[in-house]
Amino acid sequence: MDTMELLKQLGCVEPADQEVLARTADALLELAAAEKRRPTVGVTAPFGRVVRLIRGPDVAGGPVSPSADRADGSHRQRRWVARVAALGVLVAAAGGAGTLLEPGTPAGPGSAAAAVLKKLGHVAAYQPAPIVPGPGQYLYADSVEAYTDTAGTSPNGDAGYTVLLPENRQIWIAANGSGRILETFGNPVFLSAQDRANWEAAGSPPIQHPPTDMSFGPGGLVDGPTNLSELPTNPSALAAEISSRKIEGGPAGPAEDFTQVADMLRETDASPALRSALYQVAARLPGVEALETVTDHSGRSGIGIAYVNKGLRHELIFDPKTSALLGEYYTIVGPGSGYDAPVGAVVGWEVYLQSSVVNSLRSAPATAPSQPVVPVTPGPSNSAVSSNSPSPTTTTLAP
Amino acid sequence: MDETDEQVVGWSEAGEPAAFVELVWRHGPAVHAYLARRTGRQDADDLLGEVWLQAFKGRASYDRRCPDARPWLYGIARNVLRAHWRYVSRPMVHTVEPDSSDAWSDVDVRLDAAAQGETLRQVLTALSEDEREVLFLVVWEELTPAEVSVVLGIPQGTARSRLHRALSAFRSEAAFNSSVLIRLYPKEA
Repeated sequence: MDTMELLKQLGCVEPADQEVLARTADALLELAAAEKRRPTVGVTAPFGRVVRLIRGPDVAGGPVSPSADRADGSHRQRRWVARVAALGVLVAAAGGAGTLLEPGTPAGPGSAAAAVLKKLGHVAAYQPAPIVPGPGQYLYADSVEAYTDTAGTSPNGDAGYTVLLPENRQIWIAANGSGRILETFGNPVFLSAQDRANWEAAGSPPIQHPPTDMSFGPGGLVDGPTNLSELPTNPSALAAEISSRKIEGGPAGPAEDFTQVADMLRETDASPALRSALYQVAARLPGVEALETVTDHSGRSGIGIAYVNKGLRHELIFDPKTSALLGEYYTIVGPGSGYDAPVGAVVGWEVYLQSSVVNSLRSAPATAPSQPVVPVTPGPSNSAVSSNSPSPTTTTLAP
Repeated sequence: MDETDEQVVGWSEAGEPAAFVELVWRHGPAVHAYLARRTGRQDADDLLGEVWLQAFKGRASYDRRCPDARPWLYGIARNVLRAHWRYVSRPMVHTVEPDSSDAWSDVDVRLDAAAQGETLRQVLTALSEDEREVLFLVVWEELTPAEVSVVLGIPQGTARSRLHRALSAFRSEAAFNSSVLIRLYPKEA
């Protein structure tokens, strides 16, 4: 070896830790956010700080708009049907008119949202691979969530009512897609005063849900694309597959792209490389907003990303240290959402609490909630909302 | 989506300061390596944040004619290093004196173990600090003399002449193999 080659070798150093780079990126994102706040005069607060709770009973709700669910005369939707309906609003709206953006919200590459998502993508890349259940084992996860449940509409014109139904959800999934979902429901919360009035006009029928315990055979719990391990982890290639609807069907457009990215980040065993690519795909979508620091429904703070489509804002909250999805919100921010509830009303939320591998369908980690996290009307009463309930349109979930 | 560094800095100045963070992903590893080669990994971890803080605050000083931000960032890193060394009373550039708390000691130990270690030590000792600095930027950071002039804030001609003198010292040394030089710096070879 000659001396020049030796000198060159002396310059070989170990690459920087991703943690060190992420820390630097965090510090700059914070500075950038502060700088962005400072010179803006007369600009409204970031949308992430919008009031989370549903407005009080003083808010007048208009007539209940008909929906596909109601048109078929079904009176009581099961919660998971309602959840699909809530997501369906996004999907249905995606093919329509252009995205409704918040005034002054930057979008696309170079935006604050893109910077936040790229950072999450880099953090995701060096996270440990997800735990995989072995033979006889189950991936256990618990979450607290609330989605809308609509009932009461009948073909003969009765006005329906929509409630936000909170629940505790525990899921066990084996490697072959079999498993169990145990759900415990809390007090339903009317979306608006009109919904409550309609419910009373209908004779205050019981709307409390009893707990459900469902078992699934092999393949029964496989949700969304099953070929995650075969998807490209190059962001450009992945973006092309998503937007061409090769992975999942759906209408064209960035709103649906955002929905599908969220689908693949939520309760899946996507590899760190794929998760990293998913964040980078989201970073390129025009219309994605950065919400700075926001708190999920259980009070954990994280970094928020949102996409507004047809008056409904879908918000994803991530742990900045691990890039893990902490929670989600669906909030009405304008007309066209299909919900008959005022702006600011939350029509869905979810909090992902923990996941681990357990050895049976009956076992849960010691930290799993033994009692429902969501409040349940005490006693065997089947009535929907107790008459002395202080405010039927606010949620009072334990942190 | 591969915007140039110049575009990214442009966005960050035009109302999207967060866009600047993209440069951390692009050049953070290189800036960290620059620091680590000169002051060790531990100090590099500590100083990296300061370099990027100064870069962000001083992003208006970025010469937008340069499509690559690395020379500009190395220049900031160099100033941070100098301040750091002043603070800890270390020499600004590696000396050949072993210093237990300096990364040079690590390099020096490896020099001892290498077959040509003593020869290289002699060549480097014969160079001035300025010449060594140019040499390291060319060999380690793989910069062109034009980029070196940006890092050091010196005219291109000065960077070239310093590099020429440094390389002459190598050329006069018997074990020198010009193939490496051709790869590094074809014009000079």
